[in-house]
Amino acid sequence: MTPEMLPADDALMVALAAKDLTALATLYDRYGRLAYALAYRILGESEGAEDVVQDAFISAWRGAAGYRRERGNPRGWLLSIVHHRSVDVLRRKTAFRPAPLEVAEQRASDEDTAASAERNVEQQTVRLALQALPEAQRRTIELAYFGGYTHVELAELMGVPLGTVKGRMRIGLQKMRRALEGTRA
Amino acid sequence: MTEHVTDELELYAVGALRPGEADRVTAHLASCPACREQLAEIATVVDALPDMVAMREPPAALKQRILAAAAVDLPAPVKRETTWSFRPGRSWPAVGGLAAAVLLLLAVDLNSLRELKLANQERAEYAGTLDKVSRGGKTWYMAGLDQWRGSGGTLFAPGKPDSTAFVVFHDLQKLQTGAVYAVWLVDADGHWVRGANFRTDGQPVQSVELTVPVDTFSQCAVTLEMSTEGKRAGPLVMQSRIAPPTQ
Repeated sequence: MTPEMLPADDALMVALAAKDLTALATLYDRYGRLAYALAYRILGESEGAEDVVQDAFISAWRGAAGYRRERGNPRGWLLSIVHHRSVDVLRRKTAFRPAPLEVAEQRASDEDTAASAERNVEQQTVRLALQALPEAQRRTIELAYFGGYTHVELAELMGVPLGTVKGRMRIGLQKMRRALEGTRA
Repeated sequence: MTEHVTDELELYAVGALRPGEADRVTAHLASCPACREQLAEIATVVDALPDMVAMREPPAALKQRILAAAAVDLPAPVKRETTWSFRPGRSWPAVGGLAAAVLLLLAVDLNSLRELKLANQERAEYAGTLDKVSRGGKTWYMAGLDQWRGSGGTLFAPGKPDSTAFVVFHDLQKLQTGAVYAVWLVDADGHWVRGANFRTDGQPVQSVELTVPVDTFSQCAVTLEMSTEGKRAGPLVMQSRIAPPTQ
């Protein structure tokens, strides 16, 4: 997303809060594809991803009046709803167990390869920032965000203390932030 | 104010805290501007993570399902023309805006509305429908297939167990003599149960009540049949996967 789009997104949120269906349609046109891709990436199947995206957009529609700009931009707010709901669904699955690390890694690798043709500059920037991290920090971030693992599950899965998981997450995100700021400056 | 949650903000931002832990952080953030500011800085990175996901095209019907579900939240129109005007021949995508307006009246039996005429009765019925739909209910949109492309229907499964499920169809094609549309519910084992038979009433939007509760079925479908009884034999007009309203 470019900074120039922010006012338009903010205006959409105002219209959404006023129950303007056209605004909801525009919001979907703008972010529906990314929302679906994120849900699919986390859940690994289309039917669950559809349900999550529908629930997320309806939640945004109904909760737009309570949206506060200072807590994040509309895109981040919407995608955080998609992310939270996807992870909730993943964790509710009765058969859900932490997958072996190599399985989760393989799934990420397959999807990234398939997406290479469509990756834009922003995607490249984020990906490079993540790839530049030490493997342990990168895995911690990926497995938490895309795999839905809690820090307790991560500690068990990776065989490290809870404090190590927390430290890897913090340092990894700090490094990514510096890298992204450097690119965008 | 509770103790700062600085050490947990990264885990919170990526959703890696357990539910109870996340609730505690959420509660603290509500009253701590300093932690909120720090979280906002972390969020600039976390919000960028979806950008590295492989783009994937959602099904075309998903947008219409979302808009149909959102439309039930809209307030009832205060004043409405009693005569409908509709220009046949337009495709469904081309009349998306019109459809949204039509969906304001979702689940209202249009024939009954015409007979009633009185605006206050109309509003009361609409409010009752909204109430029926909004209390834990769910909706699923079925898009017309093949030669029925352009038509569709939204299945409403009210949250209350004693309420009747119904489908609001749009742009259905007229049928030849003897044919009926059949609404089916399909369970996880592939058993088809007929939930309703109906013929088009000539209106752009038509509501059909189901005689079977939907909560034990996994799919809803509409077929074209030459009999109001018996097993499914005709072609598939539209279909959607559904889930119990309680999920």
